[in-house]
Amino acid sequence: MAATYYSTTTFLTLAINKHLYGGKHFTYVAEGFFPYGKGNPKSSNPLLIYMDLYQPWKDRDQYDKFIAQHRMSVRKGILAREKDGAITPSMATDLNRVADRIHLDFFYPVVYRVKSDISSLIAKGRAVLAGSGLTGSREYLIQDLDDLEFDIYFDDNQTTKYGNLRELTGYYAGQEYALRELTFWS
Amino acid sequence: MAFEYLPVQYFAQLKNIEDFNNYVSVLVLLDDLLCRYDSVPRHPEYLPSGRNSEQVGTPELLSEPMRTCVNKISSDDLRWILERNINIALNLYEARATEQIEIIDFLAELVRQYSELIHPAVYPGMAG
Repeated sequence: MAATYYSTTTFLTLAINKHLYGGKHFTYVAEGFFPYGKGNPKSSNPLLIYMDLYQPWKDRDQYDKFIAQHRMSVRKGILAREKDGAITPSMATDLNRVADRIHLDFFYPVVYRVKSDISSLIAKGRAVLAGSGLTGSREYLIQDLDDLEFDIYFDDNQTTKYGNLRELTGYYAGQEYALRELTFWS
Repeated sequence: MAFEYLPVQYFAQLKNIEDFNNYVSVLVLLDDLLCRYDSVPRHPEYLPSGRNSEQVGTPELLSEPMRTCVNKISSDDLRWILERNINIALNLYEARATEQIEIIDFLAELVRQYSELIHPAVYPGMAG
């Protein structure tokens, strides 16, 4: 039986990936939701990342270090996608504000469960050993995981702030409409 | 080789949104350079399409965008602080096998600085 790979991120990055980056997800994935005993450090352990995100979300701790680091990670993605030309410089400016200022409710953690067989992604060169995977754990980087290639777990935050951002990729007539919803809370 | 903090008297220079964004962009790229060596190692995330994933988190990938951001900043003071931090971070990267404590301290100060800069009292365009 093929191993199952997981990744934990936030609703914020899920929404940005869907509605601004064309449904492509830059994702580090680990074998198992709780890869205990497989050599994965905390940063490649989806369960521990979930806990690190859930606790400051629950406590509304906007000064939490892990939240600040996640905001910086979102900014790194913005820089890369602007470099690609996937978003305009103007959109990047607005997205930077989203990364820096958006309401803590958008940091509710969600989990990706990769549906595709990892070996087929490896064979196509789409999944590469990365992070702790280079030193023996079961971890891969997938730069362009498509919406259709994973299931989303625990996307159950009942907030009304998400609005139409819960909709599928392609819902908005243009990136700017999704960006408007994000900047409203930023 | 400690992180060079932006003095409070320079915060007003960050009210220019372009300077602010380029300043913070360099901070996050410096974090990307060193985050694998933090007390809890983290993944580098800056990787434009078409670039080899083996370059992620390396000076080969990050130096050029850092330089681009620094050059766009109008304030001499902000540029000077960033130049100092880039040099410190590159030195720490080169010495990463022996300087993990200094790297951890550098990253802790960096995220603290970032948290201060995104505060409403500092953030450009906010009433504060």
